[in-house]
Amino acid sequence: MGSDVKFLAIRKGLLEFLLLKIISTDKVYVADILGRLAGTEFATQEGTLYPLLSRMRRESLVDYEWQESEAGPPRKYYRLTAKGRAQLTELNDYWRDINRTVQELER
Amino acid sequence: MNKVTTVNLNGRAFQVEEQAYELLRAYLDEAARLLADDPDYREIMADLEQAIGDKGARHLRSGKNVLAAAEMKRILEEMGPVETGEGVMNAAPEAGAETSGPKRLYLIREGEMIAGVCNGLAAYFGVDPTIVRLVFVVLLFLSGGLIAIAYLVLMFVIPTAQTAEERAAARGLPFNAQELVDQAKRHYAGLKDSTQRWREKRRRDQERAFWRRRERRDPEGPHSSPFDRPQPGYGAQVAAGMVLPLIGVISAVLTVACLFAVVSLFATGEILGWSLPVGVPTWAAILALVAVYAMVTVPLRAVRYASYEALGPRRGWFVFWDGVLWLALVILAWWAAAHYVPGVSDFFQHLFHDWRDIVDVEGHYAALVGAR
Repeated sequence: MGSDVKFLAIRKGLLEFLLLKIISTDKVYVADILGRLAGTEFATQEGTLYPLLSRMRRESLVDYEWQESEAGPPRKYYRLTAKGRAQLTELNDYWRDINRTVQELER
Repeated sequence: MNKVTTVNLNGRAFQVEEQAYELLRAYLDEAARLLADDPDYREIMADLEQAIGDKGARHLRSGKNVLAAAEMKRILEEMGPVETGEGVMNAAPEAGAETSGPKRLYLIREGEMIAGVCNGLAAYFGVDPTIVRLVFVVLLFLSGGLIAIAYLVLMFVIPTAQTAEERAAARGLPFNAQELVDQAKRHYAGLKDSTQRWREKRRRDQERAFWRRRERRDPEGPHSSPFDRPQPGYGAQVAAGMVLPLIGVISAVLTVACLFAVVSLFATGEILGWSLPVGVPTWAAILALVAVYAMVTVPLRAVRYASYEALGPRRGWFVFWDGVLWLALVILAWWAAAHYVPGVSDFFQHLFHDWRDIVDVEGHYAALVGAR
Protein backbone atom coordinates (compact mmCIF):
# COMPACT_ATOMS: atom_id res chain seq x y z
CA MET A 1 0.00 0.00 0.00
CA GLY A 2 2.82 2.35 0.84
CA SER A 3 4.48 1.80 -2.53
CA ASP A 4 1.14 2.24 -4.29
CA VAL A 5 0.81 5.66 -2.78
CA LYS A 6 4.35 6.54 -3.84
CA PHE A 7 3.76 5.36 -7.41
CA LEU A 8 0.51 7.30 -7.44
CA ALA A 9 2.41 10.43 -6.51
CA ILE A 10 4.93 9.86 -9.32
CA ARG A 11 2.18 9.25 -11.86
CA LYS A 12 0.33 12.34 -10.75
CA GLY A 13 3.42 14.45 -11.05
CA LEU A 14 4.18 13.18 -14.54
CA LEU A 15 0.66 13.40 -15.92
CA GLU A 16 0.93 17.06 -16.83
CA PHE A 17 4.22 16.39 -18.65
CA LEU A 18 2.58 13.60 -20.66
CA LEU A 19 -0.39 15.79 -21.50
CA LEU A 20 1.95 18.43 -22.91
CA LYS A 21 3.67 15.70 -24.95
CA ILE A 22 0.40 14.34 -26.34
CA ILE A 23 -1.06 17.74 -27.13
CA SER A 24 2.17 18.83 -28.83
CA THR A 25 1.80 16.13 -31.51
CA ASP A 26 -1.48 17.35 -32.92
CA LYS A 27 -4.68 19.17 -32.18
CA VAL A 28 -6.42 16.70 -29.91
CA TYR A 29 -9.68 16.47 -28.05
CA VAL A 30 -10.23 14.79 -24.72
CA ALA A 31 -11.23 11.38 -26.11
CA ASP A 32 -7.93 11.29 -28.09
CA ILE A 33 -5.94 12.04 -24.96
CA LEU A 34 -7.77 9.41 -22.93
CA GLY A 35 -7.27 6.91 -25.77
CA ARG A 36 -3.51 7.58 -25.89
CA LEU A 37 -3.20 7.11 -22.14
CA ALA A 38 -5.55 4.12 -21.87
CA GLY A 39 -3.72 0.87 -21.34
CA THR A 40 -0.63 2.63 -20.01
CA GLU A 41 0.32 3.23 -16.40
CA PHE A 42 -1.15 6.67 -16.86
CA ALA A 43 -4.69 5.61 -17.77
CA THR A 44 -6.81 8.60 -16.81
CA GLN A 45 -10.48 9.42 -16.60
CA GLU A 46 -12.50 12.49 -17.46
CA GLY A 47 -12.97 13.31 -13.80
CA THR A 48 -9.23 13.94 -13.52
CA LEU A 49 -8.54 15.27 -16.99
CA TYR A 50 -11.02 18.12 -17.24
CA PRO A 51 -9.96 19.94 -14.07
CA LEU A 52 -6.30 19.45 -15.00
CA LEU A 53 -6.72 20.74 -18.57
CA SER A 54 -8.67 23.65 -17.24
CA ARG A 55 -5.83 24.53 -14.88
CA MET A 56 -3.26 24.19 -17.68
CA ARG A 57 -5.34 26.54 -19.78
CA ARG A 58 -5.44 29.03 -16.92
CA GLU A 59 -1.67 28.84 -16.76
CA SER A 60 -1.80 29.44 -20.54
CA LEU A 61 0.09 26.24 -21.34
CA VAL A 62 -2.68 25.01 -23.59
CA ASP A 63 -5.53 26.58 -25.46
CA TYR A 64 -8.52 25.15 -27.23
CA GLU A 65 -10.86 25.93 -30.06
CA TRP A 66 -14.31 24.62 -30.78
CA GLN A 67 -14.67 22.42 -33.85
CA GLU A 68 -17.77 20.84 -35.31
CA SER A 69 -17.67 17.08 -35.40
CA GLU A 70 -19.46 14.77 -37.85
CA ALA A 71 -21.12 12.94 -34.99
CA GLY A 72 -22.59 14.86 -32.09
CA PRO A 73 -21.96 18.30 -30.66
CA PRO A 74 -18.88 20.47 -31.26
CA ARG A 75 -15.69 19.45 -29.49
CA LYS A 76 -12.91 21.30 -27.75
CA TYR A 77 -9.65 20.73 -29.60
CA TYR A 78 -6.61 21.48 -27.48
CA ARG A 79 -3.24 22.69 -28.71
CA LEU A 80 -0.09 23.97 -27.02
CA THR A 81 0.58 27.67 -26.63
CA ALA A 82 4.07 29.11 -27.04
CA LYS A 83 4.45 28.98 -23.29
CA GLY A 84 3.33 25.37 -23.24
CA ARG A 85 5.82 24.48 -25.92
CA ALA A 86 8.62 26.15 -23.95
CA GLN A 87 7.64 24.29 -20.82
CA LEU A 88 7.55 20.98 -22.72
CA THR A 89 11.11 21.54 -23.95
CA GLU A 90 12.18 22.35 -20.41
CA LEU A 91 10.47 19.26 -19.03
CA ASN A 92 11.96 17.05 -21.75
CA ASP A 93 15.45 18.22 -20.79
CA TYR A 94 14.73 17.79 -17.13
CA TRP A 95 13.39 14.28 -17.73
CA ARG A 96 16.53 13.36 -19.66
CA ASP A 97 18.68 14.64 -16.78
CA ILE A 98 16.70 12.66 -14.24
CA ASN A 99 16.99 9.53 -16.35
CA ARG A 100 20.70 9.97 -16.70
CA THR A 101 21.11 10.41 -12.96
CA VAL A 102 19.08 7.30 -12.24
CA GLN A 103 21.08 5.25 -14.71
CA GLU A 104 24.39 6.53 -13.42
CA LEU A 105 23.44 5.61 -9.87
CA GLU A 106 22.65 2.09 -10.98
CA ARG A 107 26.20 1.43 -12.07
CA MET B 1 -41.31 -0.33 -14.23
CA ASN B 2 -39.33 2.72 -13.22
CA LYS B 3 -40.16 6.37 -13.12
CA VAL B 4 -38.26 8.44 -15.66
CA THR B 5 -36.89 11.95 -15.27
CA THR B 6 -35.55 14.28 -17.93
CA VAL B 7 -32.19 15.91 -17.27
CA ASN B 8 -30.36 18.67 -19.10
CA LEU B 9 -26.70 17.76 -19.60
CA ASN B 10 -24.93 20.80 -20.94
CA GLY B 11 -27.81 21.68 -23.25
CA ARG B 12 -28.82 18.17 -24.29
CA ALA B 13 -31.94 16.52 -22.87
CA PHE B 14 -31.71 12.95 -21.62
CA GLN B 15 -34.33 10.71 -20.19
CA VAL B 16 -32.99 8.77 -17.23
CA GLU B 17 -34.50 6.41 -14.70
CA GLU B 18 -35.13 7.97 -11.35
CA GLN B 19 -32.37 5.93 -9.72
CA ALA B 20 -29.99 6.88 -12.51
CA TYR B 21 -30.92 10.49 -11.84
CA GLU B 22 -30.10 10.15 -8.15
CA LEU B 23 -26.71 8.65 -9.03
CA LEU B 24 -26.00 11.40 -11.51
CA ARG B 25 -27.03 14.08 -9.08
CA ALA B 26 -24.85 12.60 -6.33
CA TYR B 27 -21.88 12.63 -8.71
CA LEU B 28 -22.46 16.16 -10.01
CA ASP B 29 -23.26 17.56 -6.56
CA GLU B 30 -20.03 16.15 -5.22
CA ALA B 31 -18.10 17.42 -8.24
CA ALA B 32 -19.63 20.86 -7.73
CA ARG B 33 -18.66 20.80 -4.08
CA LEU B 34 -15.05 19.94 -4.94
CA LEU B 35 -14.80 22.48 -7.73
CA ALA B 36 -16.61 25.25 -5.88
CA ASP B 37 -13.43 27.32 -5.55
CA ASP B 38 -12.13 26.61 -9.03
CA PRO B 39 -12.09 29.74 -11.23
CA ASP B 40 -13.29 27.59 -14.14
CA TYR B 41 -16.05 25.98 -12.13
CA ARG B 42 -18.73 26.54 -14.74
CA GLU B 43 -16.62 25.37 -17.62
CA ILE B 44 -15.45 22.18 -15.93
CA MET B 45 -18.97 21.33 -14.85
CA ALA B 46 -20.11 21.87 -18.43
CA ASP B 47 -17.26 19.64 -19.67
CA LEU B 48 -18.20 16.91 -17.22
CA GLU B 49 -21.86 17.12 -18.16
CA GLN B 50 -20.90 17.05 -21.82
CA ALA B 51 -18.73 13.97 -21.32
CA ILE B 52 -21.46 12.19 -19.37
CA GLY B 53 -23.89 13.09 -22.14
CA ASP B 54 -21.53 11.74 -24.83
CA LYS B 55 -21.16 8.48 -22.96
CA GLY B 56 -24.90 8.34 -22.32
CA ALA B 57 -25.68 8.81 -26.00
CA ARG B 58 -23.66 5.69 -26.72
CA HIS B 59 -26.07 3.66 -24.60
CA LEU B 60 -29.07 4.95 -26.55
CA ARG B 61 -30.45 4.12 -29.97
CA SER B 62 -33.82 4.30 -31.65
CA GLY B 63 -36.26 2.28 -29.57
CA LYS B 64 -34.14 2.70 -26.45
CA ASN B 65 -34.22 6.23 -25.20
CA VAL B 66 -33.98 5.91 -21.43
CA LEU B 67 -30.75 5.53 -19.46
CA ALA B 68 -31.03 2.84 -16.79
CA ALA B 69 -29.44 3.04 -13.36
CA ALA B 70 -26.89 0.33 -14.19
CA GLU B 71 -25.84 2.21 -17.31
CA MET B 72 -25.49 5.45 -15.39
CA LYS B 73 -23.40 3.65 -12.82
CA ARG B 74 -21.07 2.38 -15.55
CA ILE B 75 -20.87 5.83 -17.14
CA LEU B 76 -19.95 7.46 -13.84
CA GLU B 77 -17.35 4.77 -13.17
CA GLU B 78 -15.85 5.53 -16.58
CA MET B 79 -15.86 9.22 -15.73
CA GLY B 80 -13.89 8.46 -12.62
CA PRO B 81 -13.60 10.56 -9.51
CA VAL B 82 -13.32 14.28 -10.01
CA GLU B 83 -9.88 15.34 -8.95
CA THR B 84 -8.53 18.79 -8.29
CA GLY B 85 -5.36 20.11 -6.78
CA GLU B 86 -7.14 20.30 -3.45
CA GLY B 87 -8.84 16.97 -3.28
CA VAL B 88 -10.14 13.83 -4.84
CA MET B 89 -13.72 12.82 -4.98
CA ASN B 90 -13.02 9.20 -4.32
CA ALA B 91 -11.81 7.79 -1.03
CA ALA B 92 -8.47 6.99 -2.67
CA PRO B 93 -5.77 7.59 -0.08
CA GLU B 94 -3.85 10.79 -0.66
CA ALA B 95 -0.13 10.60 -0.11
CA GLY B 96 0.76 12.04 3.26
CA ALA B 97 -2.77 12.73 4.37
CA GLU B 98 -3.89 9.56 6.10
CA THR B 99 -7.48 10.48 6.70
CA SER B 100 -9.56 8.26 8.86
CA GLY B 101 -12.56 8.60 11.06
CA PRO B 102 -13.46 6.96 14.35
CA LYS B 103 -13.50 3.19 14.05
CA ARG B 104 -16.09 1.16 15.85
CA LEU B 105 -17.39 -2.36 15.66
CA TYR B 106 -20.84 -2.50 14.12
CA LEU B 107 -23.11 -5.13 12.67
CA ILE B 108 -23.39 -4.51 8.95
CA ARG B 109 -26.70 -5.56 7.55
CA GLU B 110 -25.84 -5.12 3.88
CA GLY B 111 -25.08 -8.54 2.43
CA GLU B 112 -25.18 -10.29 5.79
CA MET B 113 -25.65 -14.05 6.21
CA ILE B 114 -27.21 -14.16 9.68
CA ALA B 115 -26.93 -10.93 11.57
CA GLY B 116 -23.91 -9.24 10.02
CA VAL B 117 -21.38 -10.09 12.75
CA CYS B 118 -18.79 -11.48 10.31
CA ASN B 119 -19.54 -8.64 7.94
CA GLY B 120 -18.94 -6.10 10.71
CA LEU B 121 -15.74 -7.78 11.87
CA ALA B 122 -14.50 -7.87 8.28
CA ALA B 123 -15.15 -4.16 7.86
CA TYR B 124 -13.47 -3.43 11.18
CA PHE B 125 -10.31 -5.33 10.31
CA GLY B 126 -10.43 -4.36 6.66
CA VAL B 127 -10.58 -7.88 5.23
CA ASP B 128 -12.97 -9.69 2.95
CA PRO B 129 -16.12 -10.91 4.74
CA THR B 130 -15.72 -14.31 3.07
CA ILE B 131 -12.43 -14.82 4.90
CA VAL B 132 -14.00 -14.00 8.25
CA ARG B 133 -16.88 -16.37 7.49
CA LEU B 134 -14.48 -19.18 6.55
CA VAL B 135 -12.53 -18.66 9.77
CA PHE B 136 -15.82 -18.68 11.65
CA VAL B 137 -16.92 -21.97 10.09
CA VAL B 138 -13.54 -23.59 10.81
CA LEU B 139 -13.70 -22.38 14.42
CA LEU B 140 -17.26 -23.67 14.64
CA PHE B 141 -16.04 -27.20 13.90
CA LEU B 142 -12.89 -26.93 16.02
CA SER B 143 -14.77 -25.62 19.03
CA GLY B 144 -17.62 -28.08 18.71
CA GLY B 145 -20.12 -25.31 18.17
CA LEU B 146 -19.06 -23.19 21.15
CA ILE B 147 -18.13 -20.30 18.87
CA ALA B 148 -21.81 -20.03 17.97
CA ILE B 149 -22.39 -18.74 21.49
CA ALA B 150 -19.77 -16.07 20.90
CA TYR B 151 -21.60 -15.18 17.71
CA LEU B 152 -24.89 -14.92 19.61
CA VAL B 153 -23.30 -12.69 22.24
CA LEU B 154 -21.70 -10.42 19.62
CA MET B 155 -24.94 -10.30 17.69
CA PHE B 156 -26.72 -8.83 20.66
CA VAL B 157 -23.96 -6.65 22.04
CA ILE B 158 -22.69 -4.95 18.87
CA PRO B 159 -24.96 -2.20 17.59
CA THR B 160 -26.07 -2.26 13.98
CA ALA B 161 -24.68 0.38 11.66
CA GLN B 162 -27.80 2.28 10.72
CA THR B 163 -26.76 5.67 9.45
CA ALA B 164 -24.18 6.54 6.85
CA GLU B 165 -22.04 7.93 9.67
CA GLU B 166 -22.14 4.62 11.52
CA ARG B 167 -21.39 2.70 8.33
CA ALA B 168 -18.38 4.94 7.80
CA ALA B 169 -17.28 4.38 11.39
CA ALA B 170 -17.64 0.62 10.92
CA ARG B 171 -14.86 0.83 8.32
CA GLY B 172 -12.98 3.59 10.04
CA LEU B 173 -13.55 5.90 7.09
CA PRO B 174 -14.05 9.59 7.49
CA PHE B 175 -17.66 10.49 7.19
CA ASN B 176 -18.12 13.10 4.56
CA ALA B 177 -20.23 13.74 1.53
CA GLN B 178 -18.11 11.21 -0.36
CA GLU B 179 -19.21 8.50 1.96
CA LEU B 180 -22.77 9.51 1.25
CA VAL B 181 -22.17 9.20 -2.46
CA ASP B 182 -20.62 5.76 -1.98
CA GLN B 183 -23.54 4.75 0.14
CA ALA B 184 -25.94 5.92 -2.49
CA LYS B 185 -24.07 4.01 -5.18
CA ARG B 186 -23.93 0.84 -3.16
CA HIS B 187 -27.54 1.28 -2.29
CA TYR B 188 -28.55 1.59 -5.90
CA ALA B 189 -26.45 -1.42 -6.87
CA GLY B 190 -28.55 -3.65 -4.68
CA LEU B 191 -31.68 -1.83 -5.59
CA LYS B 192 -33.06 -3.80 -8.46
CA ASP B 193 -34.76 -6.25 -6.15
CA SER B 194 -35.56 -3.93 -3.30
CA THR B 195 -36.78 -0.75 -4.93
CA GLN B 196 -40.04 -0.93 -3.09
CA ARG B 197 -38.43 -1.35 0.30
CA TRP B 198 -36.07 1.47 -0.46
CA ARG B 199 -38.90 3.78 -1.50
CA GLU B 200 -40.62 3.06 1.77
CA LYS B 201 -37.45 3.80 3.66
CA ARG B 202 -36.85 6.99 1.78
CA ARG B 203 -40.38 8.13 2.45
CA ARG B 204 -39.86 7.44 6.14
CA ASP B 205 -36.52 9.23 6.12
CA GLN B 206 -38.04 12.23 4.44
CA GLU B 207 -40.86 12.29 6.93
CA ARG B 208 -38.37 12.06 9.72
CA ALA B 209 -36.23 14.81 8.23
CA PHE B 210 -39.32 16.94 7.84
CA TRP B 211 -40.20 16.54 11.49
CA ARG B 212 -36.63 17.25 12.53
CA ARG B 213 -36.54 20.43 10.52
CA ARG B 214 -39.84 21.48 11.94
CA GLU B 215 -38.67 20.72 15.41
CA ARG B 216 -35.52 22.74 14.91
CA ARG B 217 -37.35 25.71 13.53
CA ASP B 218 -39.75 25.69 16.41
CA PRO B 219 -38.01 24.07 19.34
CA GLU B 220 -40.57 25.03 21.96
CA GLY B 221 -43.48 24.40 19.66
CA PRO B 222 -46.25 21.93 20.24
CA HIS B 223 -45.31 19.71 17.31
CA SER B 224 -43.83 16.66 18.89
CA SER B 225 -42.83 14.16 16.30
CA PRO B 226 -43.36 10.44 16.54
CA PHE B 227 -39.98 9.96 14.84
CA ASP B 228 -37.98 12.37 16.84
CA ARG B 229 -36.70 10.09 19.52
CA PRO B 230 -33.20 11.02 20.55
CA GLN B 231 -30.70 8.72 18.84
CA PRO B 232 -29.06 6.60 21.56
CA GLY B 233 -25.27 6.61 21.70
CA TYR B 234 -22.94 3.71 20.99
CA GLY B 235 -22.52 2.93 24.70
CA ALA B 236 -26.26 2.88 25.35
CA GLN B 237 -26.75 0.55 22.43
CA VAL B 238 -24.04 -1.82 23.68
CA ALA B 239 -25.56 -1.79 27.19
CA ALA B 240 -29.01 -2.49 25.81
CA GLY B 241 -27.55 -5.28 23.71
CA MET B 242 -26.01 -6.86 26.81
CA VAL B 243 -29.10 -6.47 28.98
CA LEU B 244 -31.54 -7.85 26.42
CA PRO B 245 -30.23 -11.43 26.14
CA LEU B 246 -29.88 -11.56 29.92
CA ILE B 247 -33.49 -10.53 30.32
CA GLY B 248 -34.32 -13.05 27.61
CA VAL B 249 -32.64 -15.87 29.55
CA ILE B 250 -34.28 -14.89 32.84
CA SER B 251 -37.69 -14.60 31.30
CA ALA B 252 -37.26 -17.91 29.49
CA VAL B 253 -36.31 -19.61 32.78
CA LEU B 254 -39.32 -18.04 34.48
CA THR B 255 -41.60 -19.14 31.68
CA VAL B 256 -40.32 -22.70 31.84
CA ALA B 257 -40.72 -22.74 35.62
CA CYS B 258 -44.24 -21.39 35.39
CA LEU B 259 -45.16 -23.91 32.70
CA PHE B 260 -43.79 -26.73 34.85
CA ALA B 261 -45.69 -25.56 37.86
CA VAL B 262 -48.96 -25.21 35.97
CA VAL B 263 -48.67 -28.60 34.32
CA SER B 264 -47.57 -30.20 37.54
CA LEU B 265 -50.49 -28.68 39.43
CA PHE B 266 -52.89 -29.68 36.75
CA ALA B 267 -51.65 -33.23 36.51
CA THR B 268 -50.77 -34.16 40.07
CA GLY B 269 -52.15 -31.39 42.24
CA GLU B 270 -48.73 -30.60 43.67
CA ILE B 271 -45.58 -28.69 42.81
CA LEU B 272 -42.33 -30.55 43.44
CA GLY B 273 -43.83 -32.52 46.31
CA TRP B 274 -45.61 -29.54 47.85
CA SER B 275 -49.32 -30.17 47.67
CA LEU B 276 -52.07 -27.60 47.77
CA PRO B 277 -53.70 -26.79 51.09
CA VAL B 278 -56.96 -28.61 51.47
CA GLY B 279 -59.92 -26.68 50.17
CA VAL B 280 -58.06 -24.69 47.52
CA PRO B 281 -59.27 -25.77 44.10
CA THR B 282 -56.65 -26.50 41.45
CA TRP B 283 -57.93 -23.86 39.03
CA ALA B 284 -57.58 -21.17 41.71
CA ALA B 285 -54.01 -22.25 42.35
CA ILE B 286 -53.25 -22.12 38.63
CA LEU B 287 -54.80 -18.67 38.35
CA ALA B 288 -52.74 -17.49 41.32
CA LEU B 289 -49.64 -18.92 39.73
CA VAL B 290 -50.28 -17.13 36.46
CA ALA B 291 -50.92 -13.90 38.36
CA VAL B 292 -47.63 -14.28 40.23
CA TYR B 293 -45.86 -14.98 36.96
CA ALA B 294 -47.37 -11.89 35.37
CA MET B 295 -46.35 -9.73 38.33
CA VAL B 296 -42.81 -11.06 38.43
CA THR B 297 -42.37 -10.46 34.72
CA VAL B 298 -43.70 -6.89 34.74
CA PRO B 299 -40.32 -5.32 35.64
CA LEU B 300 -38.60 -7.67 33.21
CA ARG B 301 -40.88 -6.52 30.43
CA ALA B 302 -40.30 -2.91 31.40
CA VAL B 303 -36.53 -3.37 31.17
CA ARG B 304 -36.96 -5.17 27.89
CA TYR B 305 -38.96 -2.37 26.33
CA ALA B 306 -36.57 0.22 27.69
CA SER B 307 -33.76 -1.71 26.00
CA TYR B 308 -35.67 -1.85 22.74
CA GLU B 309 -36.04 1.89 22.98
CA ALA B 310 -32.33 2.38 23.59
CA LEU B 311 -31.59 0.29 20.51
CA GLY B 312 -33.14 2.97 18.39
CA PRO B 313 -34.23 2.25 14.88
CA ARG B 314 -33.08 -1.34 14.80
CA ARG B 315 -35.49 -2.48 17.49
CA GLY B 316 -37.66 -4.36 14.99
CA TRP B 317 -34.75 -6.60 14.11
CA PHE B 318 -33.96 -7.05 17.79
CA VAL B 319 -37.48 -7.96 18.79
CA PHE B 320 -37.26 -10.75 16.24
CA TRP B 321 -33.94 -12.17 17.45
CA ASP B 322 -34.89 -11.68 21.07
CA GLY B 323 -38.03 -13.73 20.39
CA VAL B 324 -36.01 -16.42 18.64
CA LEU B 325 -33.59 -16.62 21.57
CA TRP B 326 -36.42 -16.85 24.07
CA LEU B 327 -38.23 -19.55 22.13
CA ALA B 328 -35.02 -21.54 21.61
CA LEU B 329 -34.25 -21.42 25.33
CA VAL B 330 -37.73 -22.52 26.34
CA ILE B 331 -37.72 -25.42 23.87
CA LEU B 332 -34.18 -26.36 24.92
CA ALA B 333 -35.13 -26.33 28.60
CA TRP B 334 -38.12 -28.59 28.04
CA TRP B 335 -36.16 -30.95 25.88
CA ALA B 336 -33.23 -31.10 28.31
CA ALA B 337 -35.49 -31.57 31.31
CA ALA B 338 -37.47 -34.32 29.62
CA HIS B 339 -34.31 -36.18 28.61
CA TYR B 340 -31.83 -35.70 31.38
CA VAL B 341 -33.73 -35.19 34.67
CA PRO B 342 -35.10 -38.62 35.69
CA GLY B 343 -37.83 -37.13 37.84
CA VAL B 344 -38.99 -34.91 35.05
CA SER B 345 -38.84 -37.69 32.52
CA ASP B 346 -40.97 -39.85 34.85
CA PHE B 347 -43.22 -36.89 35.24
CA PHE B 348 -43.60 -36.66 31.51
CA GLN B 349 -44.46 -40.35 31.34
CA HIS B 350 -47.11 -39.80 34.00
CA LEU B 351 -48.22 -36.64 32.32
CA PHE B 352 -48.74 -38.54 29.13
CA HIS B 353 -50.93 -41.09 30.84
CA ASP B 354 -52.75 -38.47 32.91
CA TRP B 355 -53.32 -36.39 29.87
CA ARG B 356 -54.81 -39.36 28.05
CA ASP B 357 -57.08 -39.95 30.99
CA ILE B 358 -58.14 -36.33 31.09
CA VAL B 359 -58.75 -36.19 27.40
CA ASP B 360 -60.55 -39.47 27.53
CA VAL B 361 -63.82 -37.76 28.43
CA GLU B 362 -65.93 -40.71 27.43
CA GLY B 363 -63.87 -42.95 29.65
CA HIS B 364 -64.44 -40.48 32.52
CA TYR B 365 -68.09 -40.38 31.76
CA ALA B 366 -68.29 -44.16 31.64
CA ALA B 367 -66.37 -44.35 34.92
CA LEU B 368 -68.71 -41.82 36.49
CA VAL B 369 -71.81 -43.60 35.27
CA GLY B 370 -70.35 -46.92 36.28
CA ALA B 371 -69.62 -45.56 39.75
CA ARG B 372 -73.19 -44.56 40.15
